Amino acid sequence: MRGGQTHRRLIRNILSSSTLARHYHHLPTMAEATLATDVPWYAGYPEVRSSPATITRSDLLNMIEAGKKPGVDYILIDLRRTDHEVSNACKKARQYADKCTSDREERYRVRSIFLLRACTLPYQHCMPRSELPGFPRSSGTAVSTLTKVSKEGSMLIGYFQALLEVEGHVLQHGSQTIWTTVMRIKC
Amino acid sequence: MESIVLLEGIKGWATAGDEYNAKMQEYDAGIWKD
Repeated sequence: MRGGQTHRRLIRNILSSSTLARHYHHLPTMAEATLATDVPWYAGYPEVRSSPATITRSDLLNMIEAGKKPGVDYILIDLRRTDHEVSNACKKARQYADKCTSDREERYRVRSIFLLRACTLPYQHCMPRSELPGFPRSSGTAVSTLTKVSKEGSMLIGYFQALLEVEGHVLQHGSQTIWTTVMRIKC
Repeated sequence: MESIVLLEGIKGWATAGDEYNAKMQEYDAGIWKD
């Protein structure tokens, strides 16, 4: 009887423990779980909420060649499915979510959005190094760029809301290809 | 702020030819091959 309780306690501790501990106990990541079953990778993500407008690469190229400045007129963010599994990204997400709001529920919402979408390439060791001008190198850079553009806190929230819209589009297509989002900042 | 999705994503951009590659920093063609 006591052994059963100990086992349940161990399982409960593992499930509530850090990513590192989960790795130690060989619990699967989302990516591993997806590979192990036939469940589509996007099954664990929220439902589609919106369908943002699109832009062709030739239009974007024209925008760049017309002298539009990255980080001022636009920001390019590359969204990849496994970014939220990078431990440092999780840490940054917590930090920025805490800055966003003191409301606990809102903080969790912002954090989860951040984890799913705000991390950009190349995040430390896991991503190719090629990039377009204007790509923030990390989620932190993306947010700090936005903060420089507008010191209003609402801009930060707007950033997350925009990312939420983008997620809807990604899910709608259900593709494993790499997506890029162009975020225009209207000052 | 307005969010817009780039059709065919960064991979489409990286494989669309020199005109587009020239705009990329630290471009490495090998990374983008299937």
